[in-house]
Amino acid sequence: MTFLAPFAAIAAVSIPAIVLLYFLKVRRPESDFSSTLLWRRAVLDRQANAPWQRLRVSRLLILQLLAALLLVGALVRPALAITGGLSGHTVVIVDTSATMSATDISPSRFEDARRQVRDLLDRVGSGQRVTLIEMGPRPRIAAAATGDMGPLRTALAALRPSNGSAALQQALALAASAGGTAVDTRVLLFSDGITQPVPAATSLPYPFEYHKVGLSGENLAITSLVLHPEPGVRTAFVRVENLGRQKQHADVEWRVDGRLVDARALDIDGAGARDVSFALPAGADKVSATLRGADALAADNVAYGVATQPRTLRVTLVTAGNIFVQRALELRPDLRVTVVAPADYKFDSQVDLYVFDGLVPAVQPATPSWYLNPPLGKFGAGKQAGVGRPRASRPDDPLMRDVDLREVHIARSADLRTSTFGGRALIESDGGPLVLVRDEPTRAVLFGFDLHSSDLPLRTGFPVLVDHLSSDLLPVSVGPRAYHPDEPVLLAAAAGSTGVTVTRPDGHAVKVATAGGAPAAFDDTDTPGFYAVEQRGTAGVARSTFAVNAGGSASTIGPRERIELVSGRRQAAPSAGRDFSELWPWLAAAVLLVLTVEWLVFHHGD
Amino acid sequence: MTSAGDPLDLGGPLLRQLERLALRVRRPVLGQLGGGRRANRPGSSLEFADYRTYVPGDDFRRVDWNAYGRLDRLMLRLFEGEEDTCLNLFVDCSRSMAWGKPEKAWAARRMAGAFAYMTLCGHDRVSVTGFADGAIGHLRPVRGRAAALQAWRFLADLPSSGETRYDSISAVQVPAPGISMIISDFLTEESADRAIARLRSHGQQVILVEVLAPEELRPTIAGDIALRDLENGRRVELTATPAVLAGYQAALDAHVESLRALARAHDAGFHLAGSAEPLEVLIPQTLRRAGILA
Repeated sequence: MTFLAPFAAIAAVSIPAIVLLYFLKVRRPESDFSSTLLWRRAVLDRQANAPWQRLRVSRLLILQLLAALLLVGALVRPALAITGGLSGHTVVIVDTSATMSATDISPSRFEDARRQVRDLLDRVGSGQRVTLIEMGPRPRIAAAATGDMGPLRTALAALRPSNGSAALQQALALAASAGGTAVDTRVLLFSDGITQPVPAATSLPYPFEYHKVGLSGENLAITSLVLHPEPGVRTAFVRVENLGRQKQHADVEWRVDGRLVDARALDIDGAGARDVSFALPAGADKVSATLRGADALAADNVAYGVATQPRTLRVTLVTAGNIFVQRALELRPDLRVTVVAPADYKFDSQVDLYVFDGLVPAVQPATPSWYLNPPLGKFGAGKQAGVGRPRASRPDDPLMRDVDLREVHIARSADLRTSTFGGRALIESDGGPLVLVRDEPTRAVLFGFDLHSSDLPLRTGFPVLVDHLSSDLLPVSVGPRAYHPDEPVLLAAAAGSTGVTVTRPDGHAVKVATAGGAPAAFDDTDTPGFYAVEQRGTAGVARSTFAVNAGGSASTIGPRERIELVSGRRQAAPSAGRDFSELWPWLAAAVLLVLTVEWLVFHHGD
Repeated sequence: MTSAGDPLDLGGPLLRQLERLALRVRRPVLGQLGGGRRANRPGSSLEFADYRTYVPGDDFRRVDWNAYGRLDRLMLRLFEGEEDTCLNLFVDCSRSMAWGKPEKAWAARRMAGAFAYMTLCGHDRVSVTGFADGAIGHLRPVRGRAAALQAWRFLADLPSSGETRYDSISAVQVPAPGISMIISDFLTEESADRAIARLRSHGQQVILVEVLAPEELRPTIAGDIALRDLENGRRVELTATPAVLAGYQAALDAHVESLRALARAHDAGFHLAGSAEPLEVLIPQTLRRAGILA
């Protein structure tokens, strides 16, 4: 219960005032009467002559105090919080992200949210409609606007918490589209508020209410697992973080290929972290670290890593000399770089990636390729010309992540505005695109300028950019990298591959279509664990493994108090935004009843 | 509207009714002078009425010696008395009477004036005494219809002051026997018991007439109020709830009943009159209650 007008409690001074009035005698107007003989007999027990009189507890006093008490109770407006109000069209967003599996409230945040929504559905009246949206990594409409409770309850019962993050922005976009132009739409979000970042300008054209689910942020998690299987190093590192305030104890168990090989006991202070290393045995493949001990979120108590050296990929750099590209490629341990002079170039189907610097072969290989500084006319490239300050075409492009172009200068570049290369611009200037990326017909990247005419290779972002581009061109290289749940994994057939099959941690095998050698996204990565990738080709079966880990940013499970939407018609707050069932009408009715009884008692003798 | 000839505003119709009533009044009592009607006690006229045994102190001239000869006992001859009666009106003039709408004092005086007129029309005598905490004024017995105006003026000129003291009635010499009528509100702690007893001992037939204002009979006060007694200044603070008003009504009933019991104890008549009641109704009612009118 909460009080919507607590300051009205000052009216409680009326209670001692009433008692005081009972001590004080009423100052009455005086009137002459022929004789007070009979009146004295009539009010024999009702009068006293002193200005103060002894307090006599009477039914009237008790009733008046009760009425005053009830009145004060009504004035402070006590209210019971109810789980969201209903309007003509209510869009209910239910968070199914990983943190909703936290058990800081019993049985879990997700079940509590589901219970609240179930209670809300019980209050749906005739003519009211409800849309149910599941907010996981990829939000979806679980039940479109309907007043039929059957499908809504079925859809609600079918919801399951995922291991991914909550894409709030997409969920709000879905809610906006589901709401349409209706003026009586209202959006209710049942969540712990731990979502993917939302741009500051996010808004909704409807009233929005955030119903906080969850109590505590206490959680112990493995937030990082790094493996160095290289000979001479062979070490695994794990970071265990205490994301709560209380000191925690945990045992870390190391398993290699399913066998327990080591265990460590840890005590971690609140908001502290411990790094633990472990010597990898030779031949280790699948490595996992597990925290023993109950805490609010189980999903981040285990981390998976792949220690197997990735399949070596062959890269041929065709150049008259480009040490920048060569060194950058050689930074990747899974690439074997061969430098070939343009005159010695001869297509080899076993090569996984070609890099052509300053030339474009007459017959372009059906192999992922990177073209640098194309000759005039190739791919429709125009004349070299000076260009302005380069910039990323899309600031949020994953290929440009951690690549800073602000200090980069490019002297000249081929005019790619009329290029036939296809794809999209990755880097551009005011004069047009400088770098193009395409997936069809063959994955390829085209740089319109000579790296020697630019200071880009001298910037720290260059090897990062090369790593991103090579990963994009060779997406099958899953290596030791771990993914987040529901993060799409790009798979592309190796040269000569006829099919790719991914086996999930639960043993379920999924075939991935890789038509024409184009990469295919595998997004069924909700379950943490090891995913086996099998490629069948003319050269036999190639196997690789990647891991999916739940820990990381999702381990911070402290529920958010409010969710701010900049231009929403109604800001969300757990208290202000929540609907209340106010009790004052009942109290006011009780006051009236008590006053009626008081009146009757007063007029029929006390 | 009062006038010099009718200071109590009795009016012609009432006076004519009173004249007719005077002929119907029964139970004449013995008086000193021959009146216009038979006395209900033996007197000194020539019409034989009865014998009674002689007791010491009786007039020897009335001894029936013939009866003594036959019966060997002294018997006194009694005759029907054709004698007048004196109506002694005692009118309460205390401050409490000067209250009410219509004012009780005015109603009491008009009532007294009406009784006086009726009595004078019957060739009987009338005396009037105004009393409060003492005898405020006294009109010695008068007779004859012509004395009515004198009695009315006396009544009209009586002041209203002081507290009610019934003992002040005792100080008044009343012609015996006769009828004594006390017109008062009787709203005082003091009982009229001794005064009535004394009147009775003087051979008076006593009639008590309690005059109350409508506001006293059915109070309409409301809310919180302090009532101040007009006579003694005592205050009573009260909240006029229905419960309190009901308590007042019960006290009034008990008060009237106590007066009625007092009257019964002294073989007196009692009548409760509202100050707003018309005399045309009130006078016959009072006379019937007193057993004077058939």
